[in-house]
Amino acid sequence: MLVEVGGWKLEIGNWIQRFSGLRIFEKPRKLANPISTNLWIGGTILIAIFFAAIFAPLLAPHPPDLVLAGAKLSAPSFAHPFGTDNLGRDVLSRVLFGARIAIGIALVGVAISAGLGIPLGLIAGYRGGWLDQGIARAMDVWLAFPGLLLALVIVARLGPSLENTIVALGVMTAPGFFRITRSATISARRAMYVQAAQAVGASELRIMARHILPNLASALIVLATLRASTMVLAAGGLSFIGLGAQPPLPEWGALLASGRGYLDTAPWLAIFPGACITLTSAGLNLLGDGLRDYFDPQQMKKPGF
Amino acid sequence: MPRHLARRLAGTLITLIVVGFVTFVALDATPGDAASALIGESASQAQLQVLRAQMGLDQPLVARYATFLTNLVSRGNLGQSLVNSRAVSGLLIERLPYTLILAFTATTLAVSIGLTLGMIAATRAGSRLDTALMSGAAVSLAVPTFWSALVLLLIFSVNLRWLPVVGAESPRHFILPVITLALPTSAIIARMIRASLLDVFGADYVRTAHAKGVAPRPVLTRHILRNSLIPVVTMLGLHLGHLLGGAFIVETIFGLPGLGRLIVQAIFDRDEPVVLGATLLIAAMYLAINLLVDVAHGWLDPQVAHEAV
Repeated sequence: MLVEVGGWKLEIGNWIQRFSGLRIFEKPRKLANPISTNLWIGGTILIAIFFAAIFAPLLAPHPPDLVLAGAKLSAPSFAHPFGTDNLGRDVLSRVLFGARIAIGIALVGVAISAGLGIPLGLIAGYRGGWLDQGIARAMDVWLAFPGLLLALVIVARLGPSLENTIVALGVMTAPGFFRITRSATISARRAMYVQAAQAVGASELRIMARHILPNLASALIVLATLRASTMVLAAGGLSFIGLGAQPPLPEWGALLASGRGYLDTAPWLAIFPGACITLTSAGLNLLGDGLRDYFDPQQMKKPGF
Repeated sequence: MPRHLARRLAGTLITLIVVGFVTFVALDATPGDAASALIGESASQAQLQVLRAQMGLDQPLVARYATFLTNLVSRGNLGQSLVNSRAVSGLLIERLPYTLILAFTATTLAVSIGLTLGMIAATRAGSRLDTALMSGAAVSLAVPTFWSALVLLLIFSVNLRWLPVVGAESPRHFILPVITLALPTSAIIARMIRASLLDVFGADYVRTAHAKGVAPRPVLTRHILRNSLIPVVTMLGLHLGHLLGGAFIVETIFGLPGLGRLIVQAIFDRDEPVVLGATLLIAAMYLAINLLVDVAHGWLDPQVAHEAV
């Protein structure tokens, strides 16, 4: 998969393959799909956020928890581009370190979600029968909790903290990965390449991991990207009402919550963390949409009027 | 109707019972049960045992859940709050209207905005207006409700002083919460109706209708709109349920005493009976909406009803 962007040639396929061990792109393609605007914008936003997270200690003008004497609630200025909070901490520094937490939420949350949903979907789809029925029924119950209700119940059980919120959100969103994996596995089970693998005596585990899973990779990558966006929003929401990250953690939702009481005097406390959540979530949504079009260009050629 | 609906109804009831059990088990495992919460730190171990026996907490889990269900079905009794000893059912009935008003008003507003914008975008697919509308929708999906709520508060309540900040005394108190919830929902609906319309525009029966000389307007209302509404109705049911279970953030910000706020407060207070009761009520409403959506589905798409018989 050769991607040509403004004279730069990037071998994305090899790159993903080398790092993930998944053979995503079995057939070499002659022509690369066009990179859509969505993919461009989403990718750029995410790279910027990763950059901010990795280099937060270098970029931040102050340590995130440092209380600066005589600088309580000062408005955005050259010294403090995002202003300071009610204790005199630099908001820009806290927001930058918050990017690390946001990325952690997205990565760990999606890992839990995919780690539960994908294996269950593979087993249910490949084995079929009572096992499939049983797991699918359990997932129906899972989905009968609307919205964040299941996450709320789990947080009620485990107690409010950032770690518990991530676990709760991961568990809550697992059925999405389950459904996609299961339905694709059911159709792949009868495919020629699976029958060939069975014929040469490959183990079930090997067939699932090496033959079926790679064919699902593009759909799963799209879902993971969109789910990461959900996680960042939901974790921010739970932290905002006090059920997630606890102060002094500079989680964006928690920062927003602490700025709530100063809405009339210091609106920058609420505006910047909220803008960061929006930007991250929008970036992930655009990237997910862009990746979907990229992997499945047929979708874009829907009959118009 | 009757057969496949009866089966769906039975399935829904079983799901609800299992949902209740899952919640029951999850909350029961909390360290420090209801008895020790009631009796306080100073009580002796023996006193605690007596109280536990009185409350039936020494029974096995399944037996206690059976008792809970029997009480619920026979007397509508969901137990009482550990915090103020009020009946949970009474608390739920008191809070329910706020959540219902909020969710239904927000959905109605979102449907009217979403349908209009989605249709405009679909009929001008590929134009600048379409691109602008769809980008706007994509961005508003990413805006967290707790942020848009604060920004709306900042503009309309703090700066302009047009609307009240918190509370639920008058209809005016519901304006900002409803707008906050309707914003992302209308974006979802607009995207959905656009995609669905574009699908139907290319369908054979639409071409046939045009070819045999049906006027454009009836083609749109009778052939296109009805068919493209099917996925939207399904999605709407799901989404209304999500609003019921997800409005807690907006309720908290605007100080609306709805179900979501009740759950959040109960979680802070470790008031398990209230969490359990509210969870069951929300799940029941959600499942009921899905059942209704299935019925509506059969009405919009007669093929479904035939297949099911």
